[in-house]
Amino acid sequence: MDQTVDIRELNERIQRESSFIDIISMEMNKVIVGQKHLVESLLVGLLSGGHILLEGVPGLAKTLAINTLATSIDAKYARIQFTPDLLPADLLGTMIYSQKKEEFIVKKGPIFTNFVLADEINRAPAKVQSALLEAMQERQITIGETTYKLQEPFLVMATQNPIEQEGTYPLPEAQVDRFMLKVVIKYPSKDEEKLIIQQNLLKTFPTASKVMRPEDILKARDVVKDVYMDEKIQKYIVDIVFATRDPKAYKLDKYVDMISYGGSPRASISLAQAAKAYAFIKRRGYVIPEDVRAVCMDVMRHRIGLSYEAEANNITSEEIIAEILNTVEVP
Amino acid sequence: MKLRLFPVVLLLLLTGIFSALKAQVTVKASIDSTHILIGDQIKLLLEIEKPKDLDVQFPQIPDTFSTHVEVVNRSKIDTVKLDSKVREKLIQRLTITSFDSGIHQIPSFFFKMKEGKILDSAATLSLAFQVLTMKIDTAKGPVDIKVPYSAPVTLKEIIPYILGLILIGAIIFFIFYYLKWKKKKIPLFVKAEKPDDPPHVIALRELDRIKTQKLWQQEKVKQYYSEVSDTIRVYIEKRFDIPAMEFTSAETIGTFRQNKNMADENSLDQLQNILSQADLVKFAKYKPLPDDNNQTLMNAYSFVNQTKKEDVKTPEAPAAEPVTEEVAVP
Repeated sequence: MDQTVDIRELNERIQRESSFIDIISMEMNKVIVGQKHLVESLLVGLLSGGHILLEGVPGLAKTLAINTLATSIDAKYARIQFTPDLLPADLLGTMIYSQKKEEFIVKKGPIFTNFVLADEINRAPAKVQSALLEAMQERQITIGETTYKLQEPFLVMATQNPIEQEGTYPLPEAQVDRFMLKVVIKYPSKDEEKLIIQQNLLKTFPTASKVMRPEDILKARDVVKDVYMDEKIQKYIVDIVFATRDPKAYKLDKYVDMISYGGSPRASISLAQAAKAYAFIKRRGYVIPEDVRAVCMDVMRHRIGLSYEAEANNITSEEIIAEILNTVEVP
Repeated sequence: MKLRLFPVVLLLLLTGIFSALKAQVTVKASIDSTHILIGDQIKLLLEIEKPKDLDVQFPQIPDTFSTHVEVVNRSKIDTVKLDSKVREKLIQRLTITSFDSGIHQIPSFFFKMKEGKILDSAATLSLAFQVLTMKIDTAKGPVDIKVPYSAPVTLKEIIPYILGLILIGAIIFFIFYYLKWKKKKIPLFVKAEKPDDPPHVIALRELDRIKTQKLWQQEKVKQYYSEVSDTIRVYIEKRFDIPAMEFTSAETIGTFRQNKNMADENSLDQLQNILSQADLVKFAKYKPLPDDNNQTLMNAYSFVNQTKKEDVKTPEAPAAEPVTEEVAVP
């Protein structure tokens, strides 16, 4: 831990470097009404290099959100509709024989882009999910004997439809863990919905302007890494994650039988990275407990395994996380 | 002539002495039944009534009489004082049985007596009793040996079992009771606890301690702000029942802003200053000026004093005036 960091200088730097956040937010708000939390989560994922799993009923602007983000950053964007007959090669690419050249040439798949929207990821079989999640983790793809680095920034946003379970392949726990955030999208409010109608009745639908380049995002990511996180905040993060593993030690005896497994060390890392990114979005050079609490639900909700007892009692992971946040002492 | 008469006279004298001795003693043997079923028991009573100072030796009772009668039990010799106080009765109870049918004799028992140098004996009458056997129905042919009769259970026999059951019941009850208490995490024997001091007293005491420790003067600024903010958060938790230790600074301030009757605007500003300054020091390596350090402690004192809840003292009753009685002087 760098103890000689100058917070004042860092704060000023972050104030300077994070000015684009307001511009991106503005551009996205031009197109997407409401969904402030979704926009914030997209930015957290983008700045901390974490992938996002979106869950929400159809029609909540999931695709539009990522499309708008890609447009405003001037980045390449691909949407892949996951279906039961999709093959890994359809996603990653394959080698095809060129009669002209009389040799096998590489045909890259749609994953070679900056932003990937993996729509309805749970409709594809495990081997396709696995191929995507491996690419997410390694940020490189091997086709034949050649390994290709994926271009940065590389952000995968996968969507899951929670209402249709028939004919789906739910993501295994180990693979869900690779998504930094799982964002649950709610319906807009009445006023927001009224605005959505008005916007869609206009002759021309608003579009986002290109306000950033992918290189700017990479630069911002470096700055996010410099955001100061005190040891007290690190201890707070560890306490939260440990409370999911050993609720009894945190006076949460009622959840002992409800949790089958708690957050992994990857959860601690993700929580710290997401909290830093959130502090950056809030244009601060240091992390405060509010930042941890703001991202905790999205980082932890898919990392807690619920027991049959919890499911029988209709206890959700969100409920457990809320209780943990209300019990673990804030530094 | 005189020499010839001497033995005759001596014999007459001795006979007379023995007759007198026997006349003072009565011996008796009796049985409580003259007919028993084979194996049943009879009580045989041996009694001798005699002068108190006469030495008597009870007969030695053998284990069997005439091979057919067995002695099952002998009691100790019991002494009963008679009304005359110079005489007494000695009694011994025997239990006898027989496993042979027929009429059996109980022989005479001899009690030996000694008075001075004179020895004599007295005998009881011999007794007889009949032992009857069971009628055997030979028409039925051979039958199995019958199991022993079950004797009726006496209270003495079942008392150990009853006590054992009560003991086991008591142990089970105490175990159950103990587990119940343990589950509730309430100690079995609770020592009356001294009531806690009011929150503001605890907070002011803590602030005094922090002040005397002079932490920021020793370059322990982070510890100083951590302790001041924790003292205030604990105070808020106890005084206002707000979980400030689990709340972030913004959440705590937000709760105060929502409930405006909790603290006035000035106190709220002081609280905000304390918490935000502490957050900057704790999480952002902020190094405040010495004046800021003092001001934070002053704000903490002021916040506690302005928001403390004083104990409502019951007004004391006015002291009763001394009653003086006027005595009329004649």
